[in-house]
Amino acid sequence: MIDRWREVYDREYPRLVRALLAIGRDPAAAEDAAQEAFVKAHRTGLDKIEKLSGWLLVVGTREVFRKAKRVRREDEIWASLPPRDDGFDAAAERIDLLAALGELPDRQRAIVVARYYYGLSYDEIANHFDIKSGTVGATLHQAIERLRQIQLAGRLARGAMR
Amino acid sequence: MTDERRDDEILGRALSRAIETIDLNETPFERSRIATAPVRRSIFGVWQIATAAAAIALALAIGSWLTRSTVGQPGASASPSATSAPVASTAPAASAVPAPSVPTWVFFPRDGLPPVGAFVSGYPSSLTSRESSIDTRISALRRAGVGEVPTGATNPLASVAPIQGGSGRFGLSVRIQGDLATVEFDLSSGWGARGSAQSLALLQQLVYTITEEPGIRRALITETGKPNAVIDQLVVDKPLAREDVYGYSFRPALGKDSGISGGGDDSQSHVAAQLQEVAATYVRLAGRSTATGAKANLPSFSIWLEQSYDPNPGGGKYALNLLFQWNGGGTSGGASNTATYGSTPLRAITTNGTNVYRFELDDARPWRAYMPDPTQLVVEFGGDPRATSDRIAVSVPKAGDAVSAGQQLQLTGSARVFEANVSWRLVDSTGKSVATGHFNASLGSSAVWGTFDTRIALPSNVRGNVTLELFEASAKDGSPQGVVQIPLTVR
Repeated sequence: MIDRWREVYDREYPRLVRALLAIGRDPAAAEDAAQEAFVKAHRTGLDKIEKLSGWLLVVGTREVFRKAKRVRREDEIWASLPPRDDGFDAAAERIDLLAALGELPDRQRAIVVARYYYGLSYDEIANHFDIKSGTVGATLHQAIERLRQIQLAGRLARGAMR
Repeated sequence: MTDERRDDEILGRALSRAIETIDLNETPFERSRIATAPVRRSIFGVWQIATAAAAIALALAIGSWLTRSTVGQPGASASPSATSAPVASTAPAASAVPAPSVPTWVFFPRDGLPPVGAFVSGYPSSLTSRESSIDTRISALRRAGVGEVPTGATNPLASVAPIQGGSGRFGLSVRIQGDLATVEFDLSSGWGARGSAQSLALLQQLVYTITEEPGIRRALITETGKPNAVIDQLVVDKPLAREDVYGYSFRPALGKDSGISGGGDDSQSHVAAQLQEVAATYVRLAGRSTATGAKANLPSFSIWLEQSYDPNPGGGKYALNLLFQWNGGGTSGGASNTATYGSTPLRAITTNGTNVYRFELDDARPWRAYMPDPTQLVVEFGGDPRATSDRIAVSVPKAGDAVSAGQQLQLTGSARVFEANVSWRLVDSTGKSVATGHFNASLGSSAVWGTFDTRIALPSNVRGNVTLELFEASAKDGSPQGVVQIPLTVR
């Protein structure tokens, strides 16, 4: 049985921590929330959970929002991203995007991550996050539009520095 | 899917990739809180079934995007008679008998471009049926290493879809009826694709790779126990040809009557059209005197696209025929060997040894031909779908290029429009037209395309995401025809 959990853990944990880090912007809190989510899943039992990955994300997100110390640490987090071989611009774009994500309201951030990083459907998001399914699309669009504006501002600022 | 929705998906994907790059100090399972907690539950199998059930996604309008324009097009026809018995099927996760492997040609999707083919390792040479060839190609794709994925492409089948039983092999069942291969996937936890862009990429990869089998033109992808496949929110319920998924806004017509003819200099004999340059997406031919080797004007020619017969050596799914006017004496074809290029879309060039070239292609994608001067002919296949319409093809700038406000922007490409007049406009992110103009291509209203290489002035007060549109203004009412839309960033 440990092996089953190990398999689930190995598959789900890195993605969950990354998602929670993107949502909460605090590495310690993300790690803590991810561990807590697994403990809760463990207590609940795998047979009781439909679609485990989405379940973990929602429980983890709640934990992050509950515990987050609201420390604005994004600069040091994003600055620590390893440079990739695809060059400065691509890395800078990624960092901009993540920073832009951090500017969104909590709920929008969680929904964006659930949709695009976790690939949850509108209905799943509506159920898990307890919002009307009709508003998921609009919320997402609003969030992406805002991301686009923030990202663009960053890109222009970077262009101006050269 | 609306443009707005697609733009959202693109940014969403970029965001997803950005999150994936976050560096983690992973807590190994041994040190996790659950590894030391007492085990209370142990019914794992039920969870798997529950996830499989939950994987049934919503059917959205995307399904209709796929099937919108299949009538009367190559490869698309009525749905298959799914009731007939399987011809053969291969066992899922067949026992791993180590067999000598040969390179396997498979396809990888690219952002905004049609899929690109490449060899990967791991194709057992001991295949007994066409069905098992298809199975093995998909499995080879599944196992392909990161280093085997061509630059600029992705391998969604490996990076997205879940591994079954750790064997790296899907449970697959393949059956072939005529030119249709039906491939049933046994997936216990869905495809794993996220968002429409990723789903489409996966679908492109599967359709191209399945139809790589000689004689197969259409693929029907299903999931065990279902008549269709649901990839995230993308419902696949019809046989798909490569042309159904390749992303071009139009398909070229087939047959000699739908080709083009170019007038040349038929007064000289002993002129050969030699292949000067061969690339994946174009060939350049030049007229040479077979007596002296000096440059010579090319004779008249005609070019047309038709289905090819890919069980033949060097055969593609389609071939573009280039026929030169026979001008007596020597040859006009100038080449007599079959050459295999193994690129996308140009797979091989064959000739009849005298006056016909056949460019064997992966699919029936748009093509065009132009003459830089009377001694040269360039034939192009495909191009970026965003920059390609039935009458305009732009090679510079490329989609996604960053350009400078207030500067001159170079425009290079080819066009076949009324009186050679190409119109353009720059549209900002709100959809407002912020600059317009027009220029002339080298030729207009002729069978052979004209070319252009010009510069336009970008306004100095526009920044951010813009779209450069090139089109033919209708002679009747000025409405834009044959529009290409190239996304650019102005900074």
